[in-house]
Amino acid sequence: MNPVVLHVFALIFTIFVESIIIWLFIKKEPHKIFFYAVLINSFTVPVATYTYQNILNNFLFIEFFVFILEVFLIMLLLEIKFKKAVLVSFMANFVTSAIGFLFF
Amino acid sequence: MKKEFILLFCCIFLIFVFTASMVSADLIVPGTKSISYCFKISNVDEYPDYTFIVYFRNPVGGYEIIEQDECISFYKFSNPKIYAIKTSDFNEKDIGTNDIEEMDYFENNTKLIPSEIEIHSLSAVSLNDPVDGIADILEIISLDEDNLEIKYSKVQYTYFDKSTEELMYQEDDIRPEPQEKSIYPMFFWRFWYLILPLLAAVIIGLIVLIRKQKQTKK
Repeated sequence: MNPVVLHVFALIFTIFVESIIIWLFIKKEPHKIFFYAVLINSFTVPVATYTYQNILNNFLFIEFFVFILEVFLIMLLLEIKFKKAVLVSFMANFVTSAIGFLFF
Repeated sequence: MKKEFILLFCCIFLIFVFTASMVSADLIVPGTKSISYCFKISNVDEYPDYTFIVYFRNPVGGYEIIEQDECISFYKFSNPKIYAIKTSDFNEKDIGTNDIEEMDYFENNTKLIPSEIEIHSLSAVSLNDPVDGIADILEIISLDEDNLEIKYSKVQYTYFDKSTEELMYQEDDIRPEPQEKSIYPMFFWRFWYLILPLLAAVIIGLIVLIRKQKQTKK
């Protein structure tokens, strides 16, 4: 597959999957959750791919870094407590990275 | 809230400490990818009376008999040297079984005709480089009892999508550049790595700022 298409597809896919997972934890305003997932992933996915390709070629470390970053962003945007943000971020990143690891 | 931020900062700091040590230990330089390299001689069969051998001088020796169109790969610091020898004078057993005997054979055997060609392997390119493999095609220009002249003839590039391209060498030793320059077009590179995350960060910042302003008004 063309790498440009693959990047865009991976981003859209991540946004949809993370939106669903976040919504499972915070069952309100799905359109807002989707919008926040777009913002969060539009920031973390390019940063993660750049880091992976140019700084550190280690999938697990990058995923951990994204997980930490998303805890912070989820807490800020969704206005939820730290513990819940950790849980949401962990689940969202666990599922997307597992799918990514298996299929991409 | 402060505690959480300190915890987050500590985690990020730890990641950087770990990653910094891992990067320096990595063999592939970040931002690059490894590619395959090999060379072959296109007209070995034009010299049926001769055997062509490549000797890898560094780091541990080793040699290979060059067959027609066989692409020979080697370790990037091997410093290979090509020799010809009359097949009637060649007995593989004379090379010996260890590094010292091998070196002695290739450095002191007067029946070997050395070539001056330098072959350098290319093992890594930029990640955005579409090239996945390089095969240099060499050609024997002349061969007599004292002289073996080999020149670079063509280069065959294999791209990430498995397509290939063959280009003629215009100057000896200077490999022609591949036609395909990058995997990602420049506009996508800029959008993906700069505009998109920056835009997202600005919007996130604005949302947080507007919320804080609303809270202070209340």
